[in-house]
Amino acid sequence: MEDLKNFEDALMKRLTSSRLGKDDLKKVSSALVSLKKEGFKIDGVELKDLSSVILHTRGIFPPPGGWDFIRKQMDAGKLKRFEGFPLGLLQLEDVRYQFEFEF
Amino acid sequence: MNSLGSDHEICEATGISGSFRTIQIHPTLRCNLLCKHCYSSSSPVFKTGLESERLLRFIQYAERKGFNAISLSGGEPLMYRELDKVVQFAKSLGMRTGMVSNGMLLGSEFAGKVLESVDIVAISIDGEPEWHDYMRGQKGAFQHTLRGIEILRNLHKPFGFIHTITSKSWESLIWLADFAVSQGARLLHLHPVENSGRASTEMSDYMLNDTIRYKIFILTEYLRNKYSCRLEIQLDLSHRDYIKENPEVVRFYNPDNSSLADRLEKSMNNIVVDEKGDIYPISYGISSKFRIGSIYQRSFEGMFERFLEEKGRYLDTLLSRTYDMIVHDESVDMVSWGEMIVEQSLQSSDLMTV
Ligand code: SF4
Repeated sequence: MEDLKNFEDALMKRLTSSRLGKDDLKKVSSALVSLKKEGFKIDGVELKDLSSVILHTRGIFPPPGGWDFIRKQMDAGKLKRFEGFPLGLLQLEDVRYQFEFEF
Repeated sequence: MNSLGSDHEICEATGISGSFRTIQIHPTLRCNLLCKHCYSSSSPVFKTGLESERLLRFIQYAERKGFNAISLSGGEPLMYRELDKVVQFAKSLGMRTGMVSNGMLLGSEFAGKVLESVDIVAISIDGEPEWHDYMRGQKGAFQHTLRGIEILRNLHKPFGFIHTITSKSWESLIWLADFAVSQGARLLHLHPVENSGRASTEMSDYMLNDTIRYKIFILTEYLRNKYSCRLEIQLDLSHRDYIKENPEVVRFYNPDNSSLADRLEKSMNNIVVDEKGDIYPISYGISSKFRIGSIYQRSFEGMFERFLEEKGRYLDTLLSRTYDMIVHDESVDMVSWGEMIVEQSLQSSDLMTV
């Protein structure tokens, strides 16, 4: 509960910061839409600093949209880090993914 | 404003799923409040309401034409003296009934009678108590509405919240969603403040700019997943990339796989009866050029067919123009497409000549 409150406070602090410009927000929004389009479910948005965002998502394994989508994002230089964690040992097809986009 | 085609997934657990062809009815502009953001400029000075016999006659006709839901707003629908008759009649036809209310009059005997025939109530909440009272122009309005919500809860009546997002209230969205869940609401409908009615003069400092629209979008995504199936969150703002992939959000159909007749039928899934009894497609405030008819006309026979034959292609042009504008204007990502359709209909003087 406390973690959630801290997370939300940090998110709001970031979103209301005057240093977070329209361009940064535009990129975060586009990243959200493209992940949703591929079939990922967005669990959380973490605005790490002003130039990167971590999107916490869930999806199947292999990732919705396949590896191609991830490779394309990497090649475009937008995706800095990508990680997947199985939700449980017996549910390898159910995975929590983290995408860190850099702008 | 209608809510068709918004960027959200329907969740069975909220009980709000289903496919509806809706008649949105504004039976009166009379209201107990004088809110600053009111797009219909409703107020206590209005005394009149639609003649119920005529309205019922039209509902009966529309039901035969496949409309299966009514949604009442206004003004405050509970200030329309014949509201009970209207909802009872719609229910007797097997239609789904909904009502948007400020929640302050739900304690009356009349409201109790109305609620017996209403399936879902949307209560308008502007944000935290102080801001709500400021927007409503009445101290204590929030507390009053809370009592209304309690009545709905005691009656086990499904309800949701409708919130007009302003450049100030978006900062309370996390609070609002928590509040909605704690009160037992199943739906949170977020509607950007519109530059029309009283809002155009009283809310000019609180309109949403592009930056705030992005923030609202990001927050909504976060909240949707936080509450998942416990609260259906509907946002009347969509990302341009999403609309590009899903033209039916704006056009009500996918132009690649539908015939003109099919397209026109889909664009008629939501019709509006305004406070004068005039009938329009899509949304309140659309240009009078698109008037379908009136509840006061002698006969309704052939009304929709005539409209589609005479004005259908203009409606099609309006929707495709709005869609093109959205997808080609790369400077604006987050769009309030419903408001844009209305604006386009009012601005395009050449629409009926193309
Ligand atoms: S916004 Fe609703 S409650 Fe407020 S004046 Fe308009 S109709 Fe009445």
